[in-house]
Amino acid sequence: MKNSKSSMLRRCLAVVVMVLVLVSCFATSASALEVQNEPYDTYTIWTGYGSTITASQRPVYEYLTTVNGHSLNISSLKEPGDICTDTAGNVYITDSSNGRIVVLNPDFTLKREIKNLTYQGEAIDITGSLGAYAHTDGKLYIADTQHARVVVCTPEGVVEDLLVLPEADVIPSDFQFMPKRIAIDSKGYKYIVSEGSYYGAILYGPDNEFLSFYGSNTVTASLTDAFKRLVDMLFSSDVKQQNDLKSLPFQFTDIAVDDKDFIYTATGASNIYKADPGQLKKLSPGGVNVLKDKTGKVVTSSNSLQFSDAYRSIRAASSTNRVSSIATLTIDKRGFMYAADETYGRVYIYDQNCNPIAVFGGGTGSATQKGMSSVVSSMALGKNGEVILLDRVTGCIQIYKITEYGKLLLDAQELTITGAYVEAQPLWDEVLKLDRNCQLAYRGLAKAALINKDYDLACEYAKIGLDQDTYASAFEYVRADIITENFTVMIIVAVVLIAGVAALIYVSRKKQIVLVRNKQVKLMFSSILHPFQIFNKIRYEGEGSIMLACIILVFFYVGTFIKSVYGGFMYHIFDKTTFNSFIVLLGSVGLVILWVVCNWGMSTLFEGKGKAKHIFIVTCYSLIPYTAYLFIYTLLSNFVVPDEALILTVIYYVCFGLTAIMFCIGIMTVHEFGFGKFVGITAISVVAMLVVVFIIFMVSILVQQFGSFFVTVYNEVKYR
Amino acid sequence: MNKRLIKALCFICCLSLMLSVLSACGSSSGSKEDKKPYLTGTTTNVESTVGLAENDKFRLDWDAEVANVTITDKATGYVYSQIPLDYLNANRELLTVVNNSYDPEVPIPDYVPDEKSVQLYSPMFINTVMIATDASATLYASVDAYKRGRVGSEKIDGGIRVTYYFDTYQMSVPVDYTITEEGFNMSVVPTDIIEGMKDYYVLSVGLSPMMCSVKNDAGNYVIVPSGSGALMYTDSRGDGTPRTFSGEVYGDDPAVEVYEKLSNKEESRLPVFGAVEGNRAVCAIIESGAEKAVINAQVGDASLGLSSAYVTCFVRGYNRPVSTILAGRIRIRTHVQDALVADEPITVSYHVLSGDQASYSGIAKYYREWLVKNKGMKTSAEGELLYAQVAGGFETDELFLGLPYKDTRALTTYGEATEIAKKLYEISGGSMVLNMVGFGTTGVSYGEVGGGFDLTGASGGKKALKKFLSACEEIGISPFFNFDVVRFKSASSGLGETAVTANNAAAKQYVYDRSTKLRQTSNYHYLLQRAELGKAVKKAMKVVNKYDIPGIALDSLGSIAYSDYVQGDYYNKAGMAAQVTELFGTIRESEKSILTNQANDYAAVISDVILDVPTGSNMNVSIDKDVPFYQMVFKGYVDIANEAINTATNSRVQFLHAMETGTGLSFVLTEDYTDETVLAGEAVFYATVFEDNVDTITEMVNEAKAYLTAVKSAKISAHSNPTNTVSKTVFDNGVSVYVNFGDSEVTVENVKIPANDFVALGEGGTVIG
Repeated sequence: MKNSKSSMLRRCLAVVVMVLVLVSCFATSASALEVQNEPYDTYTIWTGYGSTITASQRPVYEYLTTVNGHSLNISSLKEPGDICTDTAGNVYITDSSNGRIVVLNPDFTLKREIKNLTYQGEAIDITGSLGAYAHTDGKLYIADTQHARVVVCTPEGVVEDLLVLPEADVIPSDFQFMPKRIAIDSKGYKYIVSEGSYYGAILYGPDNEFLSFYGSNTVTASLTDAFKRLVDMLFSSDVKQQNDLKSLPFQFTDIAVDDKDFIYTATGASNIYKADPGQLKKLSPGGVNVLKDKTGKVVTSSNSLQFSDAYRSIRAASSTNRVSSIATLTIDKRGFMYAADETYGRVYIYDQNCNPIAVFGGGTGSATQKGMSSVVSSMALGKNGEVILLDRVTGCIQIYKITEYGKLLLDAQELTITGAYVEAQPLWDEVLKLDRNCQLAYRGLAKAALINKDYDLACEYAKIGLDQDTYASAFEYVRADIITENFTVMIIVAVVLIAGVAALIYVSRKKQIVLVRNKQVKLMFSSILHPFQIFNKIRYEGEGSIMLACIILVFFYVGTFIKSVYGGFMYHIFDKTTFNSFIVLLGSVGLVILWVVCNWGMSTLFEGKGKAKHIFIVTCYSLIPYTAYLFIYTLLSNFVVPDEALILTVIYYVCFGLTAIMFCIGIMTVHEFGFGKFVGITAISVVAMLVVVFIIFMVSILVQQFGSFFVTVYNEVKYR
Repeated sequence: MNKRLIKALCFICCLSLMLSVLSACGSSSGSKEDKKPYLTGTTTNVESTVGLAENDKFRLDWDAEVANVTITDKATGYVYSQIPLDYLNANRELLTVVNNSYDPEVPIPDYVPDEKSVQLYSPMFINTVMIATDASATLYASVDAYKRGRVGSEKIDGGIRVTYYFDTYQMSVPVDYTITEEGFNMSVVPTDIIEGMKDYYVLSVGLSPMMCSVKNDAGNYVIVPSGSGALMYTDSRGDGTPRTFSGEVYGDDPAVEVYEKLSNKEESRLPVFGAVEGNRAVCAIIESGAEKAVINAQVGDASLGLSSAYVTCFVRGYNRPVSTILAGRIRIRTHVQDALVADEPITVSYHVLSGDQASYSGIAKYYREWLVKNKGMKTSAEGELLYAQVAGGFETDELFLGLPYKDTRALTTYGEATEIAKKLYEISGGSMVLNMVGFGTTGVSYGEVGGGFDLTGASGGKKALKKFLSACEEIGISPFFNFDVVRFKSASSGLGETAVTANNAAAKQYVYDRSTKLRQTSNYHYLLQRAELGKAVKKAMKVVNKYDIPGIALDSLGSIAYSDYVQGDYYNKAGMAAQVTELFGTIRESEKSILTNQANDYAAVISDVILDVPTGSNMNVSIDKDVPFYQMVFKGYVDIANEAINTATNSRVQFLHAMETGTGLSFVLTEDYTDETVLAGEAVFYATVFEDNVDTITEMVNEAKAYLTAVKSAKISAHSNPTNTVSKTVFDNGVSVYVNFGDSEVTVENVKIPANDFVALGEGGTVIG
């Protein structure tokens, strides 16, 4: 009766635990309090966590006005391709299907329309033009895509020159010149992006002479691609191989030049299933990407950085996939990069270190509200820093002006990335007052506090801002201060502790006091130093305790868990939103159980003598050193700075090595295997584990699909 | 024995499966046997009559040949016609009703419509859905009743009932047109609609799209109640394509599923719209059945030459259930409710205004007088200087040894709230309203109904609460405590039955992902069953009475109108206004003050304080100008304040909006901040810390104090925009205020207004403050 009650209790507890564990997968709730001034969300992206976290933000830009054919009292813009501004702030809109350039004053009122162009007495039709560029020399360059030329004219529309594809050996004979975007640097070098060209931009010199192709994207091949290629090489005929599609680099969607004559390129998504990394690049004169991602601890090339925030392709209501794709970019005088995502109609602002500053705008293919874009085709900056977005579908131009907060934020970040941390501090203080969700402010203030030698404050800010480097630098001083202030006490405590332990050992030996009385516990701990002896006892004398093995397993799980949750901030950032204790459970306890089952099964087939109980006990006993490491790591990682991380590495290798040795000895002993057979059976067991995991995976998918099928059928029946 | 049992079980299972399938089929295909049969043969008609109905001011004429109703304003001679008279006179032959005798066996005559006349020159239209194919179609009276169907008419008291027969789908819709002392009414009783063909349903009815029309001209405009209110000028621009607006009254139905939310929008809170042409205006009020109505407007169509605003009304509930089919594909279908909505008529009354009243200010004035007369709105209310909403806490995910659990994190304790209240009292000189939000079991996060009806939790226990209340009493503040009795995540206190959608599923409200715009399938809350709202309000009142709290805030109840297909009376949001009015009435009886947020008209008229009044429209691209119509209606009648200044996109602009209408300054505040709000996805707490805002509050209060005191009980007489960036508001006590939203100084009517600033003038023209 008692047993049944306790069994019931255990079951209930197990159910409760499982439910709680599963609940951990659920997202947190948002509240009833909402801010809603604009039809779109304005937010920032917190970096540092494993996943991207979006946070509401005080707007950096706010909606100013919408310009379209109605507001200008001209016929509606039809599939406008590009927008640019000149040094005076006049805005040039390439109205592709109407074959005209609409020129606006800096205050976005109509200035003129450039149409019915002529050159040397002949009419110049610019219908189908996809781009235009207003150069500092006062000339307007129109990328006349359909007519394979660049029209050079005055802002009033007087054509002065036509730029066509030159004859050069490097240009393939089948190359189709369809200019769509133009950028010209201060020395007059012209970079022309041609529709469908994967060779990079076409570079013309100041005298319009062709120089070369410039800065093409590269193709990255995955392991799967390489494997597929190998299979093709081995098994496909030459004809089939020739007919296979080649992976070509993706073309640029936009090109821009900054005040220092660096060229920036945008590359959209290459397919509908994933948003490619590295969609923004800053090219050196040699065409190499020099844009660095300094958002995390490790500095890498922006080639691997996922710009925008919707990384994954999602299934939209229209049953099509939707993927973030940067269609256009522009650079302001201070080097801040503005990139617009044509899919979502959003603008992303980044600094030169690729820190996301702000995200605003929206539309996602449906723009019936002001400030929203259906499909963004181009972007420019106005005279007063306004962001001007051109919508290819609606023919509307959405204009956003910078807010006071935005000015403050950009000023502060500019100072911070140039190293003027102290000068930036008062600005960051102001920023934080207006927006507590500003991660950059915490990072900037942490750096300023570090310079100001306020290390506690620096740690505090760095921790909120998820800035591990600054935290580590400040913590070193904090730790030194703690040690200096408490040196005497610490020495006394250490001496007392050592003396105490020594005394305990001495007394216990002299008086033959047994510290650990329980035989099984003693056996368990002895297995670390005498694995052969103890595992033989387990195998042949039936020693070893399942309960203790289970307790070790529990400690192993707890250790794995606390390492993730309470590990030092300098090494690891814990993200509650993605942490799943169920996965941790599977990765620790589940793995051990799977191993025991598979190894037992396989070894039975290959004359292994060990019972499942033995395998379980030795596996768990072997985990003692590694489990100890998990706790030691959790403790030390909170005190050891990354410069001293060698200590943690040494402890890891020692503990892991010890675990590995115990494990090998244990398994060999219980099965009575030689080393060679042990390796073989272990490999087979690992394969079996993979097969089991695969089967579980397949079954769960099958169950899910069946469930989905039945739900669909039920819905179909019910709704009809 | 065992075999028998198994057999019996199998039989029961099969039977129940069959029954469920059959009952499901029944619910969608509809049993129309109990309805009247569709009329065959010929219809009876009233002959063309001048003066079919008449009173001192208006005359209703019936033109049977073209089935057109006209109402003549006797004072001005202006004729309001369903079909614009110019067009009617020029195309009389085209519009003549054929009135064939209908025999289901005889094919319906073919007719090729003139595209121009089809849509807007039709006296009415219906939107239909074919259940089997999910296909929708719009049938216009001018084609599908006049040429392919029939029109019947009968005289009724004060007007005429015209029944439009759409023979193609065997549907008939009767519409009543009557004259009143102020103008004329149009009315549809949904249950009078007849649908003769299986699987073809009427979803909504559009009423006289051109009756409330004005000529296309830059001086004329249409006013729609989007958010605070908005104007659409009627001039034709560019290539003369129409600019359109459409907004469901009281907002989109939350019981209709939405797979992706691509934008935010301000909802329409008032069932009123209008059109102004020179010296003439029409104010249209949806007097009954407003919950089921959609207000539409189209302006600037050069091919029509006219702009108009009109109502379409849903006569049946629907849902757009989302199902994931194989390979992750999404399928969204329209599920239409079998039964028509309750027999409450959907009535739109058109009120003819002229002279000084022919403006949006006049329409606002007329509408508020109508509310006083018909909805019992108070005639006076004093505004306060400051409105603070203090947030208690929010729910976070916590872990204990890897096991997740929910915990509520306090952002403001009762002790801290007391200090905030004291400071604000000092700043405002006692002229303030304090609303305590999120002091229930889960803070501001969705949790139990009414926050578990427990105000003691993370922010402090009973003792702390009582201490806070006594401190408030001592200071002289009467705080409100908010109870969300509509939205909940988990059942408690005997409440937890969810409202049901048209396809009989629990009505879930999803949280939408900021970046992907898709709903987060595991992050949602429910809507409380409508029948349980009364119980929830009672429980909230019990708590309020227990602690002797002076005021109750019911943010969601006053602003969310939703359907519940558990009960026929609540289909398609029906009866929400009446239900809320009744519930608020019970609170009134207990002499507690009522606070609402973004209140719909029915809740607004009975509230003591309305917070979060929108300051803009839904920003539809067709809207030319946002006007503070909502504020013009309620200022001086109900104590109102706009959306919070500190969380607005532009705090200065939000402050100026408050000055524009003489409403108090509103803030959302907390004592504390934690970056955990970022992980929790909370949207507002980035700018709510009291310490960060106290200086701004002090400055703004000092800046506005003199002016707001001068207009604290004043009503708005007129509002205008002398320039693009300047607004002028005149109050009934003679005070006027000029607000310059522009970035440069402007002089208007000899008043110099600095950039981003305001100037208030007293009765004699003296500057206030």
